[in-house]
Amino acid sequence: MIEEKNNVLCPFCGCLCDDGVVMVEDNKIIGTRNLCRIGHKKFETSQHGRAESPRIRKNGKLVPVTLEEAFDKAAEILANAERPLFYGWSATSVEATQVGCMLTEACRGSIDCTAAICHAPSLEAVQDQGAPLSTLGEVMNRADLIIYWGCNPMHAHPRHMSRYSVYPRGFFRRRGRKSRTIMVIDPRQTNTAKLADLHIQVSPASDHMLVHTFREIINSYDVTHETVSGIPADAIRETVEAIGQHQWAILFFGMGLTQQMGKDMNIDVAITLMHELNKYIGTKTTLMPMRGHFNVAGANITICAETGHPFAVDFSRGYPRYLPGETSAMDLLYRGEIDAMLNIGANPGTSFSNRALSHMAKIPLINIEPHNQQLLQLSDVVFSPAMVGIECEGTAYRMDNVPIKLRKVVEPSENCLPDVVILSEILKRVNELKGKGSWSECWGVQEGNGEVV
Amino acid sequence: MEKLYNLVTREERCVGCSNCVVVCPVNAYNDPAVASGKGPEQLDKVIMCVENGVVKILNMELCNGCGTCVMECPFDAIGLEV
Repeated sequence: MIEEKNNVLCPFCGCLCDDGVVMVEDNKIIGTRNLCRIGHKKFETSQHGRAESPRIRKNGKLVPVTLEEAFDKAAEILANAERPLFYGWSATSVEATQVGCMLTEACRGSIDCTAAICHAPSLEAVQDQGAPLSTLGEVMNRADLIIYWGCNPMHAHPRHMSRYSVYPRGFFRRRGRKSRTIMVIDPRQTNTAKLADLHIQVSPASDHMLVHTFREIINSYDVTHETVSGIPADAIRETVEAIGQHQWAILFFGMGLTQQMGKDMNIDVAITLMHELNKYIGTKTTLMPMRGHFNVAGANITICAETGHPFAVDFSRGYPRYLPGETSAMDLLYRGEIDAMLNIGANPGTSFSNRALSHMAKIPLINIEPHNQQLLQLSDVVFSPAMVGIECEGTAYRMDNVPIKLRKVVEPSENCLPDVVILSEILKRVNELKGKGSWSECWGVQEGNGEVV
Repeated sequence: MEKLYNLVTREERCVGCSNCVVVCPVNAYNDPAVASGKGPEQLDKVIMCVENGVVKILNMELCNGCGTCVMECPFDAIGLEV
């Protein structure tokens, strides 16, 4: 019998769409409704190609072993390491990240999340300047100007425009799309740009200059150049005038702004521009990073709550230190300081550089990953966990930093434990090996279900 | 009376963004969930919905042929054929 599960959250991108319908028959996912192509594929393929049990590399091959043996081996690797790295955390629950922070402290290692290679400059800029933020609900009800800068939601967050920003009818925007103006700033003619009312085709890597020119005009300075970033100065003046004619604007920005030349300085000036628009023009303006993984915002928030810093936290001295560019995953791997690594909820196999991967090949690597991914070839211990939001529950933070409880849709197979249980078991053994006495006494964690109290 | 137009979908081009579903004035009028950006809750009252990641026409007889959905699809995955 086909069972329809309503209001299922989609654990793929930062949109965390909460209106999905998943069709389940005999504990198998057979179809979805209301989810985009990417979200549908995540549900459809979640039960395919899964390993039945954990695996350990013996004589160059990954061999299936019992859970106990895998936990012992993982704990042995981490307890014997001088400077282990705990990386990922973006595609798992915040509960697992919480235990991950405890594990990092117990091992005196470093913890970093995938933000280090995407929105870390945004976080640094927010630390510099503060940020005028809003929720997606406010965007839906209030925004009449939506600016997408250096991002392409039609490809990366397909339901972003229809679910939250452009098309829904809001309380003050009763006519939906007709009540709003879309502005896209991107060097390419993207599919998002095709839907825009105004597409500013800025020259590549010159966004910083364009933001400053906006600021010059707002602060009543003369723009002395005829063109800036490939855009005529008159067109920029008209754009600022157009922005000023709106009541409530939101700037969504992506990798095009954060991973450009200038990095966090681009976001710094963008935030200053938002402040100046609020102060001098009267257009109420906020901004929001387009977070990629479904819980990358949650990873930053949890690591920040546990350690005081959002990413790249190092415990090698026994207390948390935050030095981006020195204690972030890539830099530690480049310098060859890492002697063991645990990867969870990320795929560095496709996103890390060859130089970082070549060091990862030399060190013992524990991989908590449900599917076969590129990093499997380098892994020494592999756990196949239950997928958060499909096979187990958990909490995740949407791109606007709103926590949402993910739901369980199907039962996991016998040896697929939730991430939080796997990490708790490893932490328990690490503490025993390091002679820290009872694990629950040390950390205030209830034994059995791995729940943090 | 038989309609002079037909709403066609090209599933291989569709990414399931739901732009067409939400922007459609008939869908929004008939189903308040769609008006606020959500997926349809009353499937017999909407023209189309996203199923298995791609758009699917459910009730062609409700379509008035305004073409709003066609204008808001950058992938050319939905169209009106005369």
